[in-house]
Amino acid sequence: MKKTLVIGLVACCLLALLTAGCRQENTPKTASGDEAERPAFLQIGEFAVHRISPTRTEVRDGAGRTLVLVPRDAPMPTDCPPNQVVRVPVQRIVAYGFFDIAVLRALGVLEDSLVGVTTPKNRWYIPEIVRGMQTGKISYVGDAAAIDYERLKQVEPELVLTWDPSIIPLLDDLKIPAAVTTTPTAMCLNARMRFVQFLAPFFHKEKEADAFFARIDSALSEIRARTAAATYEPKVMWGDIYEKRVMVEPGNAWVGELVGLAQSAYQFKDVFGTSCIEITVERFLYSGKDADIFFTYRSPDMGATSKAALARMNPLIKDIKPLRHGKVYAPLPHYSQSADKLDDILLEISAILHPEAYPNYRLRYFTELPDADPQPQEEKSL
Amino acid sequence: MKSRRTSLWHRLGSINLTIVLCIVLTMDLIWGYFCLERKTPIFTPLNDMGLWAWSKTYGLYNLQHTGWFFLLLVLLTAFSLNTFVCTTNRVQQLFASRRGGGQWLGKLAPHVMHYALIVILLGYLCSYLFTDVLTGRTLVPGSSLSLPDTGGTVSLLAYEPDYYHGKRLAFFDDAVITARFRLQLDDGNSQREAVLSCTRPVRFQGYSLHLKNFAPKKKGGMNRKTRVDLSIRKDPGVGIYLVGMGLFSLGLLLYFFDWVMIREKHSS
Amino acid sequence: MTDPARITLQLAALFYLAAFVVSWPVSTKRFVFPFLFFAALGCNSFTIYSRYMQSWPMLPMHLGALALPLCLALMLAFLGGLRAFTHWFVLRLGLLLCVALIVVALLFPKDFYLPFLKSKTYLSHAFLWFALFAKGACAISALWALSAWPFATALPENIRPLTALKHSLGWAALGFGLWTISMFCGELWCYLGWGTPVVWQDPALTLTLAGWFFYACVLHLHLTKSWNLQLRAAFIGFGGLVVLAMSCLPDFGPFRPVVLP
Repeated sequence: MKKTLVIGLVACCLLALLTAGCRQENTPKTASGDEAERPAFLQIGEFAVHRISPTRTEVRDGAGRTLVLVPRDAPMPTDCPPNQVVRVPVQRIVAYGFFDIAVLRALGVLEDSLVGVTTPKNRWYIPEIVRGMQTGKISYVGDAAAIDYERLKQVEPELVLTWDPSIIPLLDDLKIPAAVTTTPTAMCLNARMRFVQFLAPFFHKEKEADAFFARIDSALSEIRARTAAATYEPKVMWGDIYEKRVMVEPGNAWVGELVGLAQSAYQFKDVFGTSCIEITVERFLYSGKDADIFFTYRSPDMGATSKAALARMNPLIKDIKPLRHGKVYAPLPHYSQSADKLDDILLEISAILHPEAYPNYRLRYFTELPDADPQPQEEKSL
Repeated sequence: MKSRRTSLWHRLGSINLTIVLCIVLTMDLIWGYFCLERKTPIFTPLNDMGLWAWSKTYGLYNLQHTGWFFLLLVLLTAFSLNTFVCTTNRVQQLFASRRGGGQWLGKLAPHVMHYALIVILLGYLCSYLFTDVLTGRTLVPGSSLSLPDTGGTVSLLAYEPDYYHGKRLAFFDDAVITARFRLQLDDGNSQREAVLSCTRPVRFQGYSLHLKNFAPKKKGGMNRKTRVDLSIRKDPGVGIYLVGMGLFSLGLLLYFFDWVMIREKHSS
Repeated sequence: MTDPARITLQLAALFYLAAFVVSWPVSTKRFVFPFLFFAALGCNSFTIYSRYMQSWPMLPMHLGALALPLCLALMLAFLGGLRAFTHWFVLRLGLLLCVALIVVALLFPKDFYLPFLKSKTYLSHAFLWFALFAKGACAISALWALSAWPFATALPENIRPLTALKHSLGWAALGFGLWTISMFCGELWCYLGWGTPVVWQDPALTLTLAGWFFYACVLHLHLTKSWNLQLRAAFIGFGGLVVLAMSCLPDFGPFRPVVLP
């Protein structure tokens, strides 16, 4: 009798744990704008947002550092170093990465808040930034590897979004808080979609973040619906070889997950780790033997103009199936600055994988590489 | 009342309970593997947030992936209690019938291991409850950071990497094979230098400094600035679980000594 | 894995299989057994050497599935003494296990991760090899237990079930000791490399701990003898193999068809 009771108790505990877990999973973590419904803790991949009180939110950045967000008029917290306190809403921000800047655009704070970037004007495709740099509102604070500290000081940022932790000691000296926006493990699809919810509390733009997430979520639903009837699952690989080093997007990265979601087989599904993870050449070539579609990291301005050009740059990959009989896609230069159009990008990738489901789709972010480069005009005339 | 307490004590120390707990622990840990697989970002903050803060946030908000861990904590607590009671009972009996030096020591060996296991688990608990962690600390040449409540300062003097050159590890050609960072440790009165590398932490003012990441990792290539990311920890549990491991190893040694030298001799 | 290593691994499987075939009492070619057995050991060692050469001084990633057959065979041959050869039943099962492990390793290779810098310490290598020898010993313990279980009344080669379980206990104790040493090496490596008691980035740690608790349970079962002999033998035999198979799981990758040389 006692034994039955003990076993019953243990079983109940286990059941309670499991059901609690499942209930948690089903609970929508994005409330429809109502602050009261917003969860106190939100995990976004390796980022986290923890609402301690209406006047204090703690966020964990990609490097595991904790930043304390307090209203601009609130007294300075005494339980943390001043360089980890961010006054919100942030009004002056410097950002390194294209992705971060695109997310600021998605939140609608780009024009008002961005004051510094690390990419010169001629490499920008976002009109607000080009305009801002022309008017002098947005400054080029130097290349990421050689920041002009005087310029940085002059723009007086209240926050720096960076992928390079080496800037942090200097920013600490200048008492400027910084958030690291890259993570040791690749961002999964969910984290990619929700990253906007990590940046939202810095600007009090939670509603906009929720709306953005809902938009991407409905794009995913559309992809699921459109590709559900697909009869053929194309095999996809995403990466490149640089000299003897092979970099690929692992299966846990958002692209890997998206390929699976769109009724396709990702060739590196079993690879787990950081974005652009380095693997052996043998594995890359093995996976390339029967792949149908290859997405290269290189854009046409980096030399990916045709399959022949890719094969010339990397003779090792000349025999993989996508280069011989399949399709190869390269990102267009503005692709990396378009994360605010994540729904369009996801849709486009889905259209590439299943063209039959998207008749007359015109590519906007990727280009299909021809077999060979078009011959120069002079040769043709000869 | 006393007999009930004695009965509870004996039930707690039951070896059958040990067996059941071991089986459930095995199953729980196998379940844990499937929960942890590809969900490691949920658990990594545990190392710097500590058990309490982690349980209230990551733990509770991801119960479908962390349930096994909470069950593990319960099971380990029960296992420790069971081990303590069972071992204490047997050690008492052993001391009561003490005779024969070597043989007696051999019989004591399993109990040494049992107590050591409890010490190790206590060390871990201590580590996860009371460690003071400074996360995301980065040094660049010439920069320094101060350790809270100590007056100690750590500065990076130089980065002295060794590069790999050769064909055997083609992917490592021109990459850093040994990353050495020369640090200056200043306690306010005196200064000394120390070398930090991947598996060689530096201890200073009660803190241990561990290399988390660094740049550049390759000669040439992308123009990355020199930096070292540190994990700085003041962990009161380390000493405890290291002592536990030492004790367990001693018990293991005694057990095998007893096995090989005494039992084999007897059986032959 | 490069081709020579893959080819020698395939050869090792063939030699283990051939050794298994000639080990049957009906075989008239039993005298070739040692040659086949040592040829298999040689091929298997070459595979490991080849993998090590591609990562030394760092730790080769996911070497377990390839190196476990070698450790198991070495323990069968040397640690049990050549005396083990008198217990052909266990030896045959061991050889079959080696073949099975290699076939699974060939079909599900996980050889594409590059070694990482923090594994450049003797502790990481000790962690790996103690664990492999521990698993080898635990596998032999499971095989001894299996040899007792179904043939409790008519055991081959006149071994009484009790004797078989005694052998099983010896190997389990050795395996448990080596497993513990491996875990301590891992914990020291973890402290020196990351400063933390546990590296949560590697889910395999839970399986390592699961195996340790299972063998702690096995040793306590032997001590109490609270279950009957057949049940104990079945638990140690089948349970041991399941736990060992689980502990090898992280070393296997996706399916890849075998290309014969």
